[in-house]
Amino acid sequence: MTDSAESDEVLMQRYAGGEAAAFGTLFRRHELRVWRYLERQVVNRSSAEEVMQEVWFAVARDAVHFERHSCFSAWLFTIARNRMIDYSRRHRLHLSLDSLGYEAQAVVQQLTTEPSVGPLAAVVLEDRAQALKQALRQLPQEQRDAFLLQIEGDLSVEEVAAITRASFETTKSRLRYARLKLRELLREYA
Amino acid sequence: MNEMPPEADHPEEVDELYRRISARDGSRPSEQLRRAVLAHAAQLAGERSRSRPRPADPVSARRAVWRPLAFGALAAAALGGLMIAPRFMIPRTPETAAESVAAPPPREVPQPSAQGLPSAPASGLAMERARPSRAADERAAARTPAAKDTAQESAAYQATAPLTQPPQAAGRAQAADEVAEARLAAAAPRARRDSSASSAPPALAGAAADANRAADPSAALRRAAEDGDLAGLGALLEGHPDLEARDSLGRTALLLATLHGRLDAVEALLAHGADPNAADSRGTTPLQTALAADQPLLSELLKRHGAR
Repeated sequence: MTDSAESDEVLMQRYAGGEAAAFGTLFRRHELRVWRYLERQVVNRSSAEEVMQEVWFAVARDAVHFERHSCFSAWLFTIARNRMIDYSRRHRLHLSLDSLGYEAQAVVQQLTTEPSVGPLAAVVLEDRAQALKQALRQLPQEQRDAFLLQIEGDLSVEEVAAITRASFETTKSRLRYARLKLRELLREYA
Repeated sequence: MNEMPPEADHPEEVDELYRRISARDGSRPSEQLRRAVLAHAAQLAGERSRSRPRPADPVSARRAVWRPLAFGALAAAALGGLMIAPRFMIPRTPETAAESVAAPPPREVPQPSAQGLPSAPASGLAMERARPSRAADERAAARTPAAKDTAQESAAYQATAPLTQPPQAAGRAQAADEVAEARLAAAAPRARRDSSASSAPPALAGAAADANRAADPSAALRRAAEDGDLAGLGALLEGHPDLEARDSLGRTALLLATLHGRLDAVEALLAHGADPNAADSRGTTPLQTALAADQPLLSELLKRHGAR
């Protein structure tokens, strides 16, 4: 089976019926999105790999419970988020703004008030990808989570709100703040 | 946080920037991880395809519905016929009853249907034998000690025997059932469901297993091993359960723990004497599973305990 135009939901049904190739198609279709969502939130690559494996194992195991009319992407990212939270609780390795400390946030704010010095120029970064990760880590955890869910999961505000168990308005607010901050932090790469 | 921030001028610009940078980000999950995920998914898919019919096949679905109904109706009709027909087929010869009182007792012939399930007899005599004791006197009246009748009885029994449970087997089944009930009452660790070598017939063993399933310590052991629930596993192991009991796919607790990468659970099971080479019904051993999932620690642990 190739990476056909079949919907994720149909592929899930076929996999639940015992067709392994359908899972391969789904995995190839979504692996990078899930990977970015995880890698940009946890502390290091090995943690991201561990959570990534847990996520896809859970998808494979719970495929029979996937409801036919559900949105696969929302279901997948709900699993990813829950597994990431579980992992952080188990290992206390979650890298959030809290774990970085408010000091970092203060430094960023200070830097952004000086137009001559870009916030990312003050930090030695090898490339844009690192700059992006660094910028994401400057966001409060809730904002980063909401932004990554929406952009990587290609989810609506309502879906992000449902996954994060926040109200629609709160979620919308988090997304706006996150984008404003990122725009500021990544200005020199625009 | 609920206060609305000022609108970003062009929020899509940030998204576009994010996507552009992400596209240049070479970070990917490792090939090792990808292989492990796909191998695990393929294994689960194989188990599913073997364990149930494909839902996309409407013909199979229709057959699955009407076949049990048709066979059930036929079985009910046959059973009803067997219970009613003998009443009209018994020869009533009251004058021979007096003779039979004085006659010597008939030769001991196995009574195939006395304790077994109703079956399809090959003659009226055999059908009569399958009836309850109300017809005992009538049977005695109808039966004569002549060699001819004995030969008929023998022929009738031989024709009936393959369809009827022999009394010895029925006795064994009953005894096994009683033993299982006693075990259940005493919360004995070994479950009948897992004792595939039991002498009880499959139908009886299956029924008892269904009744005992809720209290099946072997299933609980496998679940704890699969989940890596060390506390639960430890408590179950203290009860000395059957470590080699298998699920419907022939997987032991050790194999399930290996499959899910539960290193501690594997260690605990091996320490309690679990067979490191116990393969599932497809012949996959714990070591092969660990190697396929690229779990070097598990592989080493299994090898240390003699896994091949």
